[in-house]
Amino acid sequence: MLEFIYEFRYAFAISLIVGIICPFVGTFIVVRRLSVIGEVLSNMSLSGVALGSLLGSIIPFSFVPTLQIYGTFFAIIGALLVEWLRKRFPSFSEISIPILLAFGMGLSVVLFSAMNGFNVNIQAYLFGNLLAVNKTDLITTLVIGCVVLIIFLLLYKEFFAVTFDAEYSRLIGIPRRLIQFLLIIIIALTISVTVRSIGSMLVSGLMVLPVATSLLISRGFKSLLLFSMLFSVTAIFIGLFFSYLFNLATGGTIILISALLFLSVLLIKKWGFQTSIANSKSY
Amino acid sequence: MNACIKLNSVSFKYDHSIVLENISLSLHKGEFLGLIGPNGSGKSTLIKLILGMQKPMEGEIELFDHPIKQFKEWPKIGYVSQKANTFNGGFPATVFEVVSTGLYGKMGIFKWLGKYEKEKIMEAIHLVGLSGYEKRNIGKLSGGQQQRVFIARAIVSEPELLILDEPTVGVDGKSESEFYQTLQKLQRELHVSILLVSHDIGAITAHVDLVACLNRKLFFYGKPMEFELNQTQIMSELYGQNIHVLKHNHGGIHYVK
Repeated sequence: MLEFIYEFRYAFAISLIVGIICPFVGTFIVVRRLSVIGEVLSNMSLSGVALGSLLGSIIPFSFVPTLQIYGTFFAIIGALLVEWLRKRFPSFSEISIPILLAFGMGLSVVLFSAMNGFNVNIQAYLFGNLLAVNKTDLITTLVIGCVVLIIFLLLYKEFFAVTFDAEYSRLIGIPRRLIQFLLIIIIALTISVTVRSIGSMLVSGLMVLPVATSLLISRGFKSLLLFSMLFSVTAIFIGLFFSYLFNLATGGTIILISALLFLSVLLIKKWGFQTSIANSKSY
Repeated sequence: MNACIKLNSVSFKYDHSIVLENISLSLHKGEFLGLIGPNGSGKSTLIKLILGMQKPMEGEIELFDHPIKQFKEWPKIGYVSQKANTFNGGFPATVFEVVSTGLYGKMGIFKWLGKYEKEKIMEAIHLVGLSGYEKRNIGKLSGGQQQRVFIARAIVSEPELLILDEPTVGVDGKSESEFYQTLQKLQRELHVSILLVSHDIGAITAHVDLVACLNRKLFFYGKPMEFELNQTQIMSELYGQNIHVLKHNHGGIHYVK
């Protein structure tokens, strides 16, 4: 066991960071009814990675140390476009999602095809490979993860107020637009770092599943955040271990464990055990 | 002097339809103003103008003796919207968490709730009669209780001006009576100025210092006693039809067309 932990120490460290920041971001995504934004931004992030790979194959030297930087940049652009389109079509705000989902996927496919097909690195971004992460991945994840967490801790009350009632927040003097902009940037940053470990196809699941599980047992917002983190970290560690033990795809195993946790809590709640859980921890 | 709200010849229109025409009124410190009028009379638009959500086409609005464009002290104003109880009922927030947001503007950025703030929140919850409900999910409360949560949110920052847009819609009679007592307590003890929009003319005239009757234009603006003396004429003008006033034993007033 200790050998396993040592061999995959980078994977464990990244898991812990991703396991904490994903549900933080996921909670705000879910309560803003933007659950599918994860899919959009991971596709945009993937197209950034594809562009980075293409540039890397054309230009012999690069000033950008890792493809994640391209992914992050594209995810931020995607997030800003989602908000812009939501404002442009206030009566059909969900229209921004399929537009950018299709655009991101289309752009990725075109850029991949320009490189004469998929290669191993791109596959890692599509489905993730937490057990294959290296020190550079850890440093990138650590830096972005810390930035996300610090902003969240410093501006938690503003994020909550704006998410609960944006109009009232403006009235009491909270800079609503700035807070909403920062939230979007944070969502994009989180998705771009998570894509490397979980994969663009599965990142949205990790952001939404733990939150959905927590919604079943939480009364308040803080308890929702704490339970979401607990379910997320648990799913990641168990998934990591099982994927190593049975030589399975890491991202997929993590998502399946998350789904299993969701189903378990749903069934436990249905059988009437929820009262004791909620009463002991839900505030 | 000391006017919390001062409207000077304010007019507003949506597209080509005039919603408010030449409205002038003021609310001074410690006063309680009741604003009444039929549906679509422009009451909510007037509130939006006062809160800076809309800009007047003509006229001037001053808040605490400052032109609204220069006014920055929004935490001085507590607001309970007409739509407060139509929020997303599935939102996972406790009563305590919702009421605490009323303090966030005053606290400023990068600050956490301390012991003092938590006591203020509990006081506000107590004041609206919801002690013991702090840990409850707001979505699980009744409509009347939810409305009281939003009133607690509006008063937790100890505002100098409280604006309430039809806050007693969907609230039962007992809660409504307690609600008016709470408002009078706020006005009497904390000298809070109150602007209350309501359909309940009887309740308004029984509790306020000033009455304003609005239907695009201001038909009446004065003391409740003056209003009661001329209410049949005022109400007929306000609703555009002949109206007979019926009073019942509980102090309420019915209007029959």
